[in-house]
Amino acid sequence: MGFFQKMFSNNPRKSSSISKMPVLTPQPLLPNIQENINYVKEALFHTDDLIHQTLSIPGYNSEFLFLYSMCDQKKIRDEILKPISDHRHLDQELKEILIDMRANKHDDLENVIDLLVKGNAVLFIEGFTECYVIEVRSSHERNVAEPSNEKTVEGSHAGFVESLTINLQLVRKHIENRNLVVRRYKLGKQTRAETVLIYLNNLANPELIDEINERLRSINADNITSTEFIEEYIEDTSLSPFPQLLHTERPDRVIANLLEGRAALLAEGSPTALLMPVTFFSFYQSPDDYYFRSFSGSFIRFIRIVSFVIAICLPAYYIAVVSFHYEVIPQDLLLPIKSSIEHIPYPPILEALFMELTIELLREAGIRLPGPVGQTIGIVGGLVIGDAVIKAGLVSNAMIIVVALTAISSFVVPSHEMSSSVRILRFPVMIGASLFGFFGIVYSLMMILIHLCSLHSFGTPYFAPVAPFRLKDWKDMIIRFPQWKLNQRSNDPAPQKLSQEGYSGEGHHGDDQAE
Amino acid sequence: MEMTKQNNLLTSGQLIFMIIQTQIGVGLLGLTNQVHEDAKGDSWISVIVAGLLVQVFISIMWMLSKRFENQTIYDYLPKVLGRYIGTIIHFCYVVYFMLVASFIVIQFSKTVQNWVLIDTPRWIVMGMMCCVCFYLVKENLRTIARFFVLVFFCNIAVIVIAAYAYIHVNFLYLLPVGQEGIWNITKGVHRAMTSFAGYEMLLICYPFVGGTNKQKFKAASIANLFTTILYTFAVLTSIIVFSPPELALLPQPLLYMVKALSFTVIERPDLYFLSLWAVVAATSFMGYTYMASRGLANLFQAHSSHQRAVPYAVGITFTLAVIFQNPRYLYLYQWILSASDYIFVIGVPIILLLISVMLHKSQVKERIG
Repeated sequence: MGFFQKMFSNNPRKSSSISKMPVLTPQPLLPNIQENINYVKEALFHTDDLIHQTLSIPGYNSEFLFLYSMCDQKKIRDEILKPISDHRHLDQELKEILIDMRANKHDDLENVIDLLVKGNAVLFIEGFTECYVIEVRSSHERNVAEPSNEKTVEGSHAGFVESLTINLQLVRKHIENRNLVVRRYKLGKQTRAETVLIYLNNLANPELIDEINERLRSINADNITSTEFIEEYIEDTSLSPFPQLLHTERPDRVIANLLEGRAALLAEGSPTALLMPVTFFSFYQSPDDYYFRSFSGSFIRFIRIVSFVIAICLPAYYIAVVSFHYEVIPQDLLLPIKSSIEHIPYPPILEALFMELTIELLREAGIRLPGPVGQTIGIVGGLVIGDAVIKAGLVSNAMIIVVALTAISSFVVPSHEMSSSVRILRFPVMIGASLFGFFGIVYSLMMILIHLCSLHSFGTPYFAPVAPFRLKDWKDMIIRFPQWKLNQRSNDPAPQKLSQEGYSGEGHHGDDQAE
Repeated sequence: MEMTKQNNLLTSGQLIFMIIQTQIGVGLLGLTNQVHEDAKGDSWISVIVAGLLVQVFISIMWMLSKRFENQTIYDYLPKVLGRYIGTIIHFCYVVYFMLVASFIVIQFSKTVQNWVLIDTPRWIVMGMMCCVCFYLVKENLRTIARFFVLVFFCNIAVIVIAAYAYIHVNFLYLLPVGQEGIWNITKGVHRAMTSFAGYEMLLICYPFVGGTNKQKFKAASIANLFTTILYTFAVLTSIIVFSPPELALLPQPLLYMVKALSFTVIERPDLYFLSLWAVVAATSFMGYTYMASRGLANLFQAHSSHQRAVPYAVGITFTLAVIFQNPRYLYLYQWILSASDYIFVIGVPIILLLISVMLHKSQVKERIG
């Protein structure tokens, strides 16, 4: 035990190399240009993409520095060189040139170096006690296209991109409200990744925001590069098969959740937003449910919940029936099933594991290969292997049906994380079924339910509104009531105010005599 | 976390399910057979009377708990009876709860072995049950209550499956009402009492439930009402489905009744019935283990959390179950339990109530948890 404890120990006192963030003392500007440039070059270890150029501002001796890998040549021309050439013939003051350049004054060299690394150009002028920083960062943004992993039939087709500014704009554009608050964090000691927490100040529970704030501040890691990294640092129970933060690349999903009193975390360079706190059922909801009519929306949600049950229980149920309780098969079905499994040499659990693993392999191979090849693999794997495996007598027909149904069901979930946890969870249930029949299934399901009951996501119960039971929130759980019926927000993020609409249009829905 | 600390109490709604799930357990299957031995066709009257009697007991427990609003029975035992006697009774309570818990495990594994897992060694079934139980009870009380609310649907499903039996019933088996006489009905009541046990939960959960005293009383009464109705339904259905000589032969009439049903999609509904019943039995077991582990924790350190005592409680229960699984001991075991049931569930609370009324002992204003 001592060995394992040492291996998995996360105690900062024991781990030897704990690097403190070096606190940089401010370095005032040196009087000489050349000294300044040398200082910067030293600080950047003479990196080869650091360029310094002389500028010919009449009357001044000046030079500017930039990292060419981070800067846009066109911007340098427009922002730095053009204002100077515009003012060449007139005897203008330097001040106006600088205004045209949109330059910012700085007097701390350490600060300037940080800005340089971010893609700014620095202008040094002989005899000045300040230098000027001009933003010339190059950016390559892809379009705000619909994310391929979260497609919807109707509704907005915008998706987040890798730029934080654009993502924030996408959100703000839809919630033009002064209550939308953005809190900035710099996470990771090496990467200093810019991360923002957004929430509605009049809705999100202040305790929730404090808790998130505390958890974000307590991250003491070198490398944070995207929101998915942050997830593992701030979630409640890392050793749980269930995801406790909702990933989404859809602005409309983020907006809808913000309006329910949740908070979202976005990071520079990552198109994925993390939503918190979430419940189990959030993973089974898609923006589509709200864009469709109430009936079809509810139907789709119901299908998804059924898919969860099928994906976890169906192979286990089949194994239990075939190996323990064949009595439950109706008489007319008994013969076909018997003839299909009669000549199979392996026990059903091995058959199932073999086929499930094959499907997982196909899925993984299909993702890694480029588009058209991936599809080919799917067809070759699915049809050819499936057919051959039956003909060879390794796996029974019935098992193929069960496994295929299970695989399809596990992909119905609108969230990719939940889909993978469901795929993992069915293995213990299958093993339980192969050992104890129905009792194995019942006990493993009980374990899963107990775990769901005990999970929390940022202080809110994960399995709400089922456990703890709250009937009012069932209106938007499996069945989606019409919008005008959803008078209250869901209670699980503990929003500051529950009521979200008053009497809105119920009059049109039944009061015919008024006309 | 702050948000959870705010309302660390159960709601009185959750108390209903805590009591129901602890009450309804392994007794559900064997109840009819037990009561029928004495009360025959009037078994259902016995069950109703037992329910009424339990309601009286619940009232006494409530009156006692009301005096010590913020304390469990373990906390006020030494205050009322003195340190030494109090600790001894406290210890007896823990032992009693563990004995009941292991009795549940033994009965459960026996039924499972007879019906489904014929070749599986019984200690494996027992161990499985103990593992699941440990996994839940080591959580805090609110999680336990949430889970109990969640699996309540199993009771409803049990009723629905059993209701199918009304296709072939004979109401004449009930007549004449009162055929066995008051004495036999009373003996039937005694037999039914063990199946009703579980409302002791009130003595232990009381301080952890939010709401007024009245709400808590209402919750306990609703729970008992549901249990009485479910048991009466089970017994009544069995009596009108099977003839008296048949009933004498069937140890689990409900199961035999369900077994005979046939649907187009599935056969042998008794297997599904048993699977649901496994959950019901497990929650009852969990309820008792919770009570035992809270007592165990209090025994060694007052006001400590029950969570640390759970491994010991489950371990001891499992050991007891493995030792006493032999059918030779089982009868004796059952006899001891049905006798001690009266002592611990009603005897001690009445004495405590009388002493505390006479000596004007009431709670010290402090909240434990």
